[in-house]
Amino acid sequence: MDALALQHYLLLSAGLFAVGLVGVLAKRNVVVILMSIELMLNGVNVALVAFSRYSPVDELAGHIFAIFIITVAAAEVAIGLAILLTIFARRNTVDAAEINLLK
Amino acid sequence: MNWALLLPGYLVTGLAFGAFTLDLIVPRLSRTVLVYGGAAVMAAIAVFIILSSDGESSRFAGGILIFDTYSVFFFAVFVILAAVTILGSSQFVSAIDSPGEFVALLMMSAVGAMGMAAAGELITAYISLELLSFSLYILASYTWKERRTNEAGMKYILLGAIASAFLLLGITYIYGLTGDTRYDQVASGLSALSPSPGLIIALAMLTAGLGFKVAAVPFHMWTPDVYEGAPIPITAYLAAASKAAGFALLIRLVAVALEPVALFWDWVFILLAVLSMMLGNLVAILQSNLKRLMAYSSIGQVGYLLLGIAALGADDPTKPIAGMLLHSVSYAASTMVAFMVLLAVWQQTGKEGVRDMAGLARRNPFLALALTGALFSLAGFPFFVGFVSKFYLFTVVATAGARFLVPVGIAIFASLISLYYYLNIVRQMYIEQPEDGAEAIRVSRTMWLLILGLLLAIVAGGLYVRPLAEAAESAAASILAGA
Repeated sequence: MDALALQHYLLLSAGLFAVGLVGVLAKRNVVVILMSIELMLNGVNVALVAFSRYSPVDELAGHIFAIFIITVAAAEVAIGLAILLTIFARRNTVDAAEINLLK
Repeated sequence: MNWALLLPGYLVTGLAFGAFTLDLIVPRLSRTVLVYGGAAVMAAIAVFIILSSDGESSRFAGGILIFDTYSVFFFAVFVILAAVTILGSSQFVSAIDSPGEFVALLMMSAVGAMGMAAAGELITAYISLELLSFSLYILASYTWKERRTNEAGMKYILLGAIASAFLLLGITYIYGLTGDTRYDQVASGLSALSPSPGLIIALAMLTAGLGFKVAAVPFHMWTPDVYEGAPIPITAYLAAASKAAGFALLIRLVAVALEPVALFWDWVFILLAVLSMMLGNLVAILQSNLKRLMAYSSIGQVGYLLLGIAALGADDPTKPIAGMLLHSVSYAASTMVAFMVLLAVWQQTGKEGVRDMAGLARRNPFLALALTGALFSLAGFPFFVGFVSKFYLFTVVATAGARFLVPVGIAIFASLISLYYYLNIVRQMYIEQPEDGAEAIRVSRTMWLLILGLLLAIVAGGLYVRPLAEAAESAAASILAGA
């Protein structure tokens, strides 16, 4: 407990978030982009739980928020994959660079 | 806990689940029942919400939801906008497979928007925002067999999810800095802090996430594509309700929770406002597709509204809040009229370009008149509600402090630019000749009545705005009184 302080968890959180962001920006496969967004949200979850754990008072809001985020992220991916399926059915591609009719 | 406070939300949610269930049980459900019944019940709920408001401010479960005049104002606005959209889709739903689901999702999105207006706590605000967004992601890609539509849905959900991640990071840091998620506790936590890198990261992330939801430059990239690809009733709903919902959340958040840092951060909102109004209105000139044009025009309108957010740090934020409420309602009504006319034209011709409006005055004088009225209201011509609300908003922002004089000047200049492309559409309708063989546009009686009703509302609002302005002012006062 003493060896690990709040900063370590925040660093881990920022690292996860950054890796996710790089994935979102650099990858062209929409499935991988959705996975990278999950990674960003998990980075947020780590920070939330850490803030909650290290708060001076016994504060639970962060834990509860993290559970909410996990649930919401699952719903988000479900909708994202459903929309991706409709695109794949019409165009036979999951490449973001080829989904470019609108501009 | 006073569960009776949640009744408006329960009613709309119940109606939505009723529509889902009916769609499952009765596969060949009469669309008439669904659309007219759904819109009528929504309208009845709106009347109930307004009549049952007692002007008091009640907090639910220690303030996670706050039911004050401000919430009631937005509840009524969202329920009415959803009802208008459902009614406007009367013809559209006959072309889709599961109309019950479509109507139900619209109602669910209204519940999300209501939660955003009432939220007094960050987790609730986030969940409500996602309820609205998820319903809209599905609705925006509803006619998925069309390639433009499913592409719009994909872009919307990907960019929306990234914006949510930034918003969440901002919320997390605010929580980490203040140790609480309730708005009033956040405010007292923030007033004890001095500006730090953590605070700046938190505010920047919050601004980026919410800036995306209301489509402020430079977070607007999704708007034109999604507006163009989505089915027209949903584009109308996105422009009117989803934007108002974003501001409903933003106003309470900035006025209550971020009040201690409002003066420290107001230049960011001024910058976003100026960028939005200039870029939105300038790029709108270049558009040949009317849905894209309206998308850029809506970005411009967001710029005007953001000026009000920037002015929340002033000594008396009541007036800027009232100005934003008034203008977001007037913008929602005017833009609804414009999109309903587009929908009527599109349903018959399948065209949505600026040039396809050529000679509309001869093909259907009523539609041309309604669209002219809507565009004049958006541009801020006198005798339409858009003039009054814009005048009110600009005046209160300009009097909030000397540093707002230049941004308001830019806003007035941007309004002049917007006149150019609005009048260009009017010119197409009244001066250009219709294409050879262009037939008269027929309007169903429902559409006709709906457009006429909305048009009368924006004219009436322009001639006699006092009841609406008083409602907006008491709503504005109620947020600050509860804080």
